[in-house]
Formats: sequence, structure tokens, C-alpha cells
Amino acid sequence: MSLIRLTGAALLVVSTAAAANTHLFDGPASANDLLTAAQAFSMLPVERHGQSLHLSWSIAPGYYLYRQRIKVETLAPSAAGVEAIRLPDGIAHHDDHFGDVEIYRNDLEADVPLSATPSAPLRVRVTYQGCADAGVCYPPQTVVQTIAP
Amino acid sequence: MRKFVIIFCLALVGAVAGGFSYWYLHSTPSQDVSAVAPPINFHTLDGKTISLQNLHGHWVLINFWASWCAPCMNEIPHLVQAQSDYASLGLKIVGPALDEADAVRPMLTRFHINYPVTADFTGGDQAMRALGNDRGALPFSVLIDPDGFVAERILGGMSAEQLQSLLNRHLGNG
Repeated sequence: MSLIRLTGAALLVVSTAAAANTHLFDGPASANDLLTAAQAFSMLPVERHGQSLHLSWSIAPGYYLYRQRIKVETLAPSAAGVEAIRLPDGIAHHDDHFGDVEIYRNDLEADVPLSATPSAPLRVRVTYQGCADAGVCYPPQTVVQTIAP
Repeated sequence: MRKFVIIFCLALVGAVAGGFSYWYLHSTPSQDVSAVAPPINFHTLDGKTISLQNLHGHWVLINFWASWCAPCMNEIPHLVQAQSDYASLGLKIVGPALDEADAVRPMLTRFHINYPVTADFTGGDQAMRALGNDRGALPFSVLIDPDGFVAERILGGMSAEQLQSLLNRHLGNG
């Protein structure tokens, strides 16, 4: 058998094997490939930027956060003048159970305006929740942080 | 003709190798394990306590889920069907939700859930991690054999076919 024919036969073997593996990643997620929530949705410490609080996340490739599940609550002081979070437009995402929602991938930055200059340390609770394209979701994550006046 | 036979044989070997690797890699998400399941109690929404130890003698499928988890919701109809199909083979499904009771109750009706469900975020998370899910992601299922040993762990939602394959493999055909 000539070298060309042998090479052709070898390629046929490889391509047949590859074709049989077309649906390798259709199954449930492999635990070894998954990140923890903290790794997947890395949130940087909340920063004070003048009259607002600045929040930022670094979202790992293959993971996303739901826009409507990002919340910021003021724990103290009670009348801190913390307004609603201003989130950028997200990526349209349709889900059979949740309908049309928006998600974020990669980097996310958001601001929370302050209607008054805080005179005392501000204690806030940030909640966010997301999933992996591999077909798993992570419980809501909560971060409590105190920001100096 | 001889060359054709050789090429055909090589292609056949390739197809078998591909098929085997497909089967092997497809089965890797579920981990075969032989650890004794830890003694865990679940408190169901209707006020009952389910102890894993009291379920010895049954195949038990624990499916951790939540109403905020779309892949979990996709899987529930398959679990409901499986509970019907495999009950005669001794299957008992338990569905601990990492969720609020008020969020879980409507799901019981919506999906006609026919197995006990709990709603306890902290307790569910602890149980899930005790059963080997160190990623904390959902859905997560653990199949426990009648002797109380963990037979398989599955992270991620299963299709109807994948669930049926899992149960047929361990319980026989439902």
C-alpha cells in the first residue's frame, strides 16, 4: 500500500472517531471543569466615587449574571441616602422559565448614587446570582461591606 | 479489494474507538463512588422528617434544586416521570430546594411534584456539600443504593434519556 493510501486510511480512522464525538459536551456539567461562584463572579470591593458607590464584577468566560438579580441594600445607617443601583443594559436572554431577561458577561460596572454625603460609615449588602453555560446555576451570592464616609 | 477491506476495517476501528470515547466521556459527569452517604435529615414542606438512614432498602435519588435555577426546572418533569416509572423498583426521590418555602410551594402544583420536597437554603447547602458537591452549583443529584452507599453523583441537569439511563443502569428497566 502506498504512503498516500496509508495516510488516507489513517485520516479516515481519525475523522470517523472525531465524528462519533460530535456531541461530547451535551451532557451534564463536569464538576472538574466548573468554577466556584466566587471564581466565576469575582466582585471587587465596593468603592466610593464622589457621590456614588461603584461596583464591579469580573465574570469568567462561560458564566453570566442575571441583571434583575443584582440588588444593593443599605444596612446602616437607616437614612443613608442610597438610591437604586444603575445597571447598564444587559444582553437579551430568553429562558423557558423566566421569559425574556437580561444577563451580563465578562466585565460589569455599576453605580449606586448617593443623595447625600454620608457622615458615618455606610454598610451595604450586595446580592447577585448567575449561572454557567454548562447548565448549572449558583445560589445568590451576598457580600456585606462597610464603606468609610 | 484487499485494500478496501483494510480501509473498511480501519474505519470500523475508528468508529468503535469514537463510540467508546463518546460513551466514556459522556459518563464522566456522573462520578461512580462507593462512600457511605452521611446521615442527613430533611424536613419537608408538609412537616415530615426524612432520614436517609431510614430509607435503607430503597434506591434514593436526592435532587438538589431551586426555583431560581432554570436547569433545575427543566429537570423536574423528568424526575416526576421517573418517580412514577421506577417506584415499583424501590426508587424514592427527595427534592431539597435551596430556596424559600414561598417560592417552592407554587412549583409543587406547577410541576405536579410527586415526591417530598424541602425548602431550606442553609440546610440544603450543607447537605449538598456533605454529599460531595464542592462547587455549590445546581442542579445536583445523588443516587444512593439500598445499602446506603453513594452510587453516583451528577452535577448539572439530566435530560429524560440521561435520567432513564442512570436509573436503568442501577435499578433495571422501569
